Amino acid sequence: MKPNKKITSQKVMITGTLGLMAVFYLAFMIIPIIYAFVGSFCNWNPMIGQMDFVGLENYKTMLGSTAFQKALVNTLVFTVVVTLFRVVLGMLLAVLIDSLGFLKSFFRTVYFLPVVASMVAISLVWVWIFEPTSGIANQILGFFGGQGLGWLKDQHLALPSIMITTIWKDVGFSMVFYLAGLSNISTSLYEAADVDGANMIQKFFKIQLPMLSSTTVLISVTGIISNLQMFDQVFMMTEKAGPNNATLTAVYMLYDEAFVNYRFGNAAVIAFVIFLITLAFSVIQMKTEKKI
Amino acid sequence: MKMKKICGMLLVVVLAAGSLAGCGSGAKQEEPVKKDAAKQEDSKEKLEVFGDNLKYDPNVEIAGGEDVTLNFWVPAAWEEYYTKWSSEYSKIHPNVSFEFTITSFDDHWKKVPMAIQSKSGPDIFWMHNSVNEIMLPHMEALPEDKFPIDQVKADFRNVEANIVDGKLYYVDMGLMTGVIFYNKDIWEEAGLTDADIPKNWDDFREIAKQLTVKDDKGNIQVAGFNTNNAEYIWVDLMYQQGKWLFGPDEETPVFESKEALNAAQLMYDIYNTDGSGSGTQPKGEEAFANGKAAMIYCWGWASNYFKSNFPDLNYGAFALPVFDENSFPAYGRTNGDVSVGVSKYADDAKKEAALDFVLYQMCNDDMIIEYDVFDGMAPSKYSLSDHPSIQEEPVLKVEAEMLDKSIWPGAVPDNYFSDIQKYIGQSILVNKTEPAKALEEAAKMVPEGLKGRNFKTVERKAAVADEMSDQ
Repeated sequence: MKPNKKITSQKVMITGTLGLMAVFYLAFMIIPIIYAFVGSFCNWNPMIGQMDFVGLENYKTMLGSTAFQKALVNTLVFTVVVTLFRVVLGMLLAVLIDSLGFLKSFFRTVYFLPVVASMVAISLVWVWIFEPTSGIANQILGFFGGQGLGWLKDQHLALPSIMITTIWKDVGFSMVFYLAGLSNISTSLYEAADVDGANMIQKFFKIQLPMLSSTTVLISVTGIISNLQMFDQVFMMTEKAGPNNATLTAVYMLYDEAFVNYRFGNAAVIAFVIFLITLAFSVIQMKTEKKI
Repeated sequence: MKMKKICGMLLVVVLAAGSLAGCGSGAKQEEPVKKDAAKQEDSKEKLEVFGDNLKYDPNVEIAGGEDVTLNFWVPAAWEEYYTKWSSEYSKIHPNVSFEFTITSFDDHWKKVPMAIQSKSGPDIFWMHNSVNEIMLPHMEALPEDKFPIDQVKADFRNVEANIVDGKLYYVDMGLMTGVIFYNKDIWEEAGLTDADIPKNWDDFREIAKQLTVKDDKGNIQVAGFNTNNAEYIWVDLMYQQGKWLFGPDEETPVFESKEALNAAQLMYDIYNTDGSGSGTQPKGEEAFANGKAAMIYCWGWASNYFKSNFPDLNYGAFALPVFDENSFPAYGRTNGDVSVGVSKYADDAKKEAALDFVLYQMCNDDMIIEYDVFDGMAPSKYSLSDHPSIQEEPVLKVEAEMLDKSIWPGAVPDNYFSDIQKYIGQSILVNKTEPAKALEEAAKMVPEGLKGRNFKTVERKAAVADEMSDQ
């Protein structure tokens, strides 16, 4: 084939492929997002074909709603705590496993296994673990002489219980990233540290921690984005985000508003609030990455 | 190079096809499970007309004898029942056949309202009164000429309450209410007999205390009473005291009253003062099935749950105790499961056939009884309350006895009851919040949850309305 014809046919193929993908994203992402944004200004119930413009009423309702305020607080607390543990525990595990000799692969696999399991299945298992009357958690506490706890039934412990479940599932993910990051640190740095007489802790703070900073940013931001959208655990592990809204999160409330209360306009408002919060964190990530 | 191009184009086509795979109306996403009914040769023999006041004449030709196929959507739990009765119907009307689409219970109310609007959804579907808000706008009302309202009222309970804007869309096939299930083995071990069945809450509290078993650390091993996950018993306690749930505007929930406090206080006292219950126990039906609760408050559906999963469980049931057994307006709340819904978008022939099937359902006592026994309800049809199949089921028998002193609040949004559970029930029973404080929280949060929901309670249309102290 002549070079010009070759280039032209390549361009046609690229354009065609990109065009098709653009149509796909337009149809299944952009247009629905725009539609939902418009819906957030409407008394919107697609179940009965209702979409009556109400201006900022939905925004006033949701932002003034005690339940939504609680949901936002719960979501932010959950996100911060779980992400923090994801980073700290993941790093700790990675450093410890990295220092091992022949059992490295074994431990890496063991800690990564929960990551590949379904969150729904894990949530069901942890419901049984946290069962106040017969669950393993209270049996272990009892073994050490402690009093059984309410866990998911206690309004002060329900959200922490879900945090424990999520951290347990998630920590392997960050561990794997940190292990990769650790393997990229030049051994010459460790050798230089040895020459200077640095101990393990000094090496960690002076070499490993700074060298893992970009990995930390990545894990933090992906963790924040994912945890802001937490839903499965609340749905599977609690009775309607109880007890007493203790586990109510923004996305759960979005689901409730749309599919239980048929107030799709309110649900759209929640979606956009989450979107704005996520966008803010993404901007922070980009700026932090540039500085690093 | 050419090969690369071909592979690239193929990949694009496959991706495009894959991305379009999710398109299409909801109705077509499920493979219709075609269950053609058995057809019988035309019989010249006249069939018997049946029914009480409302009658069904099976000799009337449907849709001028032309073949009609009704697209019937039901949740999986109802597949067997409706497959059977649609077959029976088709024996009478061989020109009418049914094509079933089976949904999951959770998905039914997400798919049906969307599919029905697309005009390719069901012609006839399993209906529930909790979704009036989203389904009545799509439903065909029952025509007066085929369903004379006086005859319907003469046959069924609750008809007046089911009339919306002057139209009737369905009737209750059965009515369910909350009863007390009790474990007969635990009862016997404690030296109790049926003569000890309490009629009032004071006696109930004593029995519950007697049945409660605790370990050395004071933790409940067997609760005397468990109402976990059914904390909406508060609603029954309100009705028992003659108090409406909603104000005169029929939409604002009421929490500031001595009756509301009495009801919340009783729940608090049974669990926390008497120590007969624990909010950390599993749901009532689970705890009961595993012998961890001697008595539970649960609705009639639990009888089938126990029959299917715990056939050896030795239990009985009795009517909800009341504050004063010598004078009470109602036992509590009731709710029904209703006749099938008909789409208003179906063509005339399909509509005629569908409405005829509804009439068939309403007049066919065997069909109603089977429905009620399956669902754990007492018949809404007056003539069937004493049916042997009802009387021999302890839970159904008790429900039948309670029905005429039970109140249907109407198609109140589900989140009203789940919010009652949360802000009153769980607060008091799990977190041991003081009743007054729990009610204060409920007064703030429950109306917020009902904002923008289009409903009016029909509780004041109850047969016992005149006996309620709150007029």
